[in-house]
Amino acid sequence: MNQQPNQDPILKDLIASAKNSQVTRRGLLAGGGAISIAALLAACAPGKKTLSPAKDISATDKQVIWDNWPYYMDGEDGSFPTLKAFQKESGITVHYNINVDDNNTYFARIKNQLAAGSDTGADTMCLTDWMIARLINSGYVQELDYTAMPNVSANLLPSFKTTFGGSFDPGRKYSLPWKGIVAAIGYHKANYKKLTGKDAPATLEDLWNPALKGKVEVLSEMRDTLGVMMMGAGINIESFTSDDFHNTLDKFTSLVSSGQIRGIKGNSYIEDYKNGDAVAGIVWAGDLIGANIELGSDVLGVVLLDSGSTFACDNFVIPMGSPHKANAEAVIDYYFQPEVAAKLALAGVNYVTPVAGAKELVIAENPSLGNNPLMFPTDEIFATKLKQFRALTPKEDNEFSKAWSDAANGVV
Amino acid sequence: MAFAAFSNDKPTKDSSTKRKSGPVVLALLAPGLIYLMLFFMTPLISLVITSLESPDPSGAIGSYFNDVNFSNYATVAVDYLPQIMRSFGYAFAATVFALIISYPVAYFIGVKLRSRPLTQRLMLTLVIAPFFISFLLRTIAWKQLLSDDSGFVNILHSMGVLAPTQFFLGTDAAVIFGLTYNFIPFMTLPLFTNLERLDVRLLEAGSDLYANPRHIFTRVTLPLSMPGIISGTLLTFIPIAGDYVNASRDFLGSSKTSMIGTMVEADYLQNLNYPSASAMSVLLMGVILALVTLYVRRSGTEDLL
Repeated sequence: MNQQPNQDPILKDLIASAKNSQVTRRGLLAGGGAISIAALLAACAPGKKTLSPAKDISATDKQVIWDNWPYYMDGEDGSFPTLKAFQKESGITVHYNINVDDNNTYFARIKNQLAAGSDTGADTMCLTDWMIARLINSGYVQELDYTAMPNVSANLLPSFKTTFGGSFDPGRKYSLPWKGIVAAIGYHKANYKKLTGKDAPATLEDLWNPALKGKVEVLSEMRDTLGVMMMGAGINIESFTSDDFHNTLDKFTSLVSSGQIRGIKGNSYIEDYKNGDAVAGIVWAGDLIGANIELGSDVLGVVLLDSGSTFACDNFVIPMGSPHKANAEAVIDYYFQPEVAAKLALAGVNYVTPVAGAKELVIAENPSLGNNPLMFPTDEIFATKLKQFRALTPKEDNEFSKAWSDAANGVV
Repeated sequence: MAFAAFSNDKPTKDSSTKRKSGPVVLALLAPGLIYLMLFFMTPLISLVITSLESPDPSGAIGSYFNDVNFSNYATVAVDYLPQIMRSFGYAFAATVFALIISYPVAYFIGVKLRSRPLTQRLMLTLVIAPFFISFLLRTIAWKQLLSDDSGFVNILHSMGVLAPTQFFLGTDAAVIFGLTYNFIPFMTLPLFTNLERLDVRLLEAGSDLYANPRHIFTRVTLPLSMPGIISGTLLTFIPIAGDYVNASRDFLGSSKTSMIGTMVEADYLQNLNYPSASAMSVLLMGVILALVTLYVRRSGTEDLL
């Protein structure tokens, strides 16, 4: 849809602080330069104060800016049919920006504004569970108003509120799931058969088969790759210890240095399966389902191991500095209608929807898609196979991320 | 100064050409000075300050406070020593390859094609033409062309250069190839501008004095083209040492090819360890400056410049 309007958040802060500070002309002439530089620095420096929500101007300013990951919306070539429909229905203009490609990178970009409680340039954004936990713990995001979101109250699947939300946001007071992502084992059917003689990987150990040396590719997202590996080793990822983490990481490091695992990627990894650089590995199920649809055949296979997989959500939050909270809630609520959620699933957004009733609508249109347990996991799969990587303390977060990044970059 | 290597003008020592620097000169210099202050000095100072920060006691990720913590430098120098060595190893290898490839090309275009200006310009355009396409796109294209099922890798397999379970992408060779390819014009163009002005009468004089072609090259052509070689090697070596695209796991590299740039990227964007990333950057800058100064001194080209 529309690109983000040209309003630099820092500039907006400066204008706001200039309006608030009652400086006389004489005072301005005397020490204005120093003051404005100090104001600029203050706007940039993270503070430790408790933040309060910005004034909501939704009623008069009918727009909302939404930052999201790629492949999460129908018509990403710019047509955005569901967003257009929302705009027509509500009169609220949505500036939908596909500008999140990494939780850390995105966070690094807005963290000073978040800490100052000022406008980050987006009214809502979808980020992954652990990043949401960090934002909530730091007090950077606003409490949501459920009375303004009847569809959410009616259609949010309970497991997204309890099992896959309760640990970092009890009762989903600050965040709401946008899409769920299953990490699973992906493989190129023909090449896998050629190299190993088997039809499909059945256990995690199958990936470490010497016949696949150099053809295994894993995700650069620590929680998914190590999560799946820990589950394969029988470790409960909801309560693992530091030793469990380091043992698994050692195993990972040895697999990388032996050359068994060659690729460690977070995007465009599907290409590697297509051109033969990768034959099997840990993938996000939705990506492979999408690639198969695009290729028009079942070239790629994806399996959920008996040992289980990680499940994570990308979640909406509204930062403290957002001046369009009510508009953001309106667009969130709109996507919690089963009809809209089903439209997205049918249009190629192949990730798990948290909206009850969407599955039935998709089955009616496209039974194979609607019955795909990796897109619409059954209650049994949710209960037995899918687990969420436990929340890390800030100290662990620092230590584990560093250890993971070193392992992935071959620093020993 | 090392930067003098980029210019071919002889520094004039004639005092008669010196003029008093008046307000006009200052006014003319002002935009450049202000630009340098804003966009070079400010980030540099900020970088040095950041490189001395210490982690916040809360242990929260990405939180640091102002300090004078020199241990950041020791930590990165020890932890990332293999990556630092690898960066300069790659940069050295790629610069040498670029020189070996570029010199004959530049000589051919600059000297042999002098009598045919049209062909000369056409050839020069061909050298630059690939670089009208984005650096990233070209590297991604090479990633496809060198992938495991590609014709190139199949040929290497059938020739026995690579064992059936060995592949090209993600190896040192792949990264050095990418670096050489991406930086070749920065070598070819300075060499060309130098060789284009080579006085061929000196070569004729050499052969009149019974020097064989090898001697003419080593005694006449090579010394005369030293300024071009120095500019070319500096223009390739410096950016290659800091490159992080070719060696990236998303392009031609793997976990085993990380360079300094890879570590800066990881520390800055992934681990939010700004002091470590800054210390690494300052270190890279210092090492390059030292190497370049040594190189320009050693090669004795100061008199030539």
